[in-house]
Amino acid sequence: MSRNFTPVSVVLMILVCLELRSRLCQVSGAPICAHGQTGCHILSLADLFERVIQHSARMHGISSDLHSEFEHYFLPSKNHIGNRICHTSSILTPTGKENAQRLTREELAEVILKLLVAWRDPLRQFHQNIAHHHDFNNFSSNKALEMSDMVHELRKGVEKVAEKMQHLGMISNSLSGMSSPEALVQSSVSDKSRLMSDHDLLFCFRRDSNKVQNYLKILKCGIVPEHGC
Amino acid sequence: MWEKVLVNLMPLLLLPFPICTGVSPPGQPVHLYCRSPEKETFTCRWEPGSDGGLPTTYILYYQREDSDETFECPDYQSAGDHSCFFDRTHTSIWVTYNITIVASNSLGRTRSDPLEVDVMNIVYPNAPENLTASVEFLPSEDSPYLLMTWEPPHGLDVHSGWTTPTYQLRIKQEKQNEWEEYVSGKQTQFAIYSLPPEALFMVQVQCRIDHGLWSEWSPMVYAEVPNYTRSDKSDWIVVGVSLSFIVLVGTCILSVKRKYIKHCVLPPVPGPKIKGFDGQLLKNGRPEDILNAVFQQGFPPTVSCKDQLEYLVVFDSKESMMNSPTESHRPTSTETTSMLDPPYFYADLQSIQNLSAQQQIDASENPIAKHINNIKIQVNSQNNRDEELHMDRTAVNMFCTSTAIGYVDVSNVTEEELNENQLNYSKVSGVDTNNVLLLQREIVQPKSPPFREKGNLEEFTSQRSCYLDKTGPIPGGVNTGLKDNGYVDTMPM
Repeated sequence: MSRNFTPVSVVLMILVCLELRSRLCQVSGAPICAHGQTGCHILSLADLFERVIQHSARMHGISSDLHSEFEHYFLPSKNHIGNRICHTSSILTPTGKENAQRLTREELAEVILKLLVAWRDPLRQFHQNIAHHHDFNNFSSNKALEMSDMVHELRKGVEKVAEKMQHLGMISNSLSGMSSPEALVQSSVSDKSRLMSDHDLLFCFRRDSNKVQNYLKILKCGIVPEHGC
Repeated sequence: MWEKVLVNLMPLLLLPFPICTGVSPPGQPVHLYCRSPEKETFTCRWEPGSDGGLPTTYILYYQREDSDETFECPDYQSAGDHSCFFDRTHTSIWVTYNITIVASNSLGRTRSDPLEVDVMNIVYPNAPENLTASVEFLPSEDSPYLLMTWEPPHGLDVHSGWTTPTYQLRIKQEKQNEWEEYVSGKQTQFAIYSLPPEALFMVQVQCRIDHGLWSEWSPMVYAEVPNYTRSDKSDWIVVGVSLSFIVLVGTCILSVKRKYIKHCVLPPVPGPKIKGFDGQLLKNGRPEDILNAVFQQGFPPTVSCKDQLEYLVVFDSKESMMNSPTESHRPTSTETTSMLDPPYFYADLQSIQNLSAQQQIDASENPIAKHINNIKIQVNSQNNRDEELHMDRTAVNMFCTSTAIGYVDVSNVTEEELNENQLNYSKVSGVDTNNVLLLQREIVQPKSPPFREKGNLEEFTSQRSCYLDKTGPIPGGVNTGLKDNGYVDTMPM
């Protein structure tokens, strides 16, 4: 009987594999070539922006989930109104559409990068904290790790976008080297980050990830207004 | 009298009035919601408490997280009663607003509970506008489809990337009870195919920004599908699907009954069978059984083919052997010079007699017999025939007792004959078994006085009862009672 079922099961396996492959292919796109190798599909600036924006949207989604989970389990009373101070409050960020549009492209890109750089270490620390805590379940711990990784990847993605924009002459090279945002942010911010509680951290990151997402969209539609704007 | 009653009752009547007609401080106002339709402005609404019978004013105070200052609502009118409208200049995203409403009248003030608001979280767009639904026909076919288009709610800025609305539709036929929902994504149009004829459709659309709240449903729009005949294509599709289903089922059955069908269509070829031959015996049997099975009566045993004749020339004495002129012509070594040239072995009578003295000559020890398989004995005698005869007999004796002999031929050879390298051939009178020739002994013309031929033969025969195998006669092969042949043929076992 097993021999009769073998060809049928093989066919089913092939179908399942094809289905999974098509789903996976929807998520991941074509590979990005570094330094424009020949024979490689080079992404346009619009494609790069699209990827980066999707990435930031996902990051914001995860941070929202974690924040609501935290509030649900640890802070049942909604009357907790503290004076929250985020460690990134020293970074000047536009608080509206006009303010964001008033910034130059270089300034906007710099703000985005500053925010991403400022969150790398606190998120890593956060993940390590909750990995040891048994109060959090594995699901939350995985999300925290994913969040921490995404910040890192998003920063690299935005740097690539900025590189490409400089290459195309859309922004001047005054966007001073990628090391300087770190230098600006590191000293003043790192001390404050240690004073934040976990709840405050999640609250602040949820907000900052939304900022990053919106700024990226404004940057994109200001530079490459085709489809999606 | 009436006046007296009234005067008495007056204090009683007047007492509750101040409670009923009096005023009180206002009741607590309650927050309803704060909403931003486009992420640039927002409006807060509240539910007033009781006004306490006095004119009550409501003031909204707010604080921003980035300052300690308290501000008052900038606009109480634009959004209607009991509302506060924050315009662009007063709205900041990603800033927490702490809002409190104070109701006050001449008797007192009442504060509401504070409400914390971040505009990021309260985005609630208006419904999409200008929804249209129409029944269109595809150019190539007669089947209609329903096309719906709409526009984003007014005031929404979709071109700068600040807000990205996503849409959702719901459609229902007039006779149905349940709505069907479709997600349209960022597109502002949607189409539905394969419509039933003579149906009335009702359509509505809503939107939301990023992952905020869904807007209200737009006003209902109707579309009617005319009466039309469905093409025959659908019938053919049904036929095709059923056929393919039948084929699939047939294939499954065939694969299940694979062996049976193979047996019917391609009958197996019967394998070879040997009568009396048991294949199983070969696999399992012992060697003796196999041999018995294989080598049955009538099965001829193999013959060791040694086609090469080797000559043993017997001299009566060593001197004559040495003096023989044949020495020079023949190799002295026991090894052959060529395959075609038969080897000659030389021995004198004495050595043969010595050898024959041994009762049993073992082939492995006999240096001569080791190399000799088929021997033709040529007796070379320069003396009288009696000695020749004696030599013959001795030679035959020796070789018949040897175990490694194939053919033994005894003949008398003179010097001349030897020089000429003549071979004696006997006539074949018959074939006894597969490998035994019955030879006719030639009557030699006597150059010398004739010897008693018959007697010789008899003597020969009497001494020619050669058995090769020590164990006994070989079944079915050896002719033991040779009468008039010159060969004894042996089969090594």
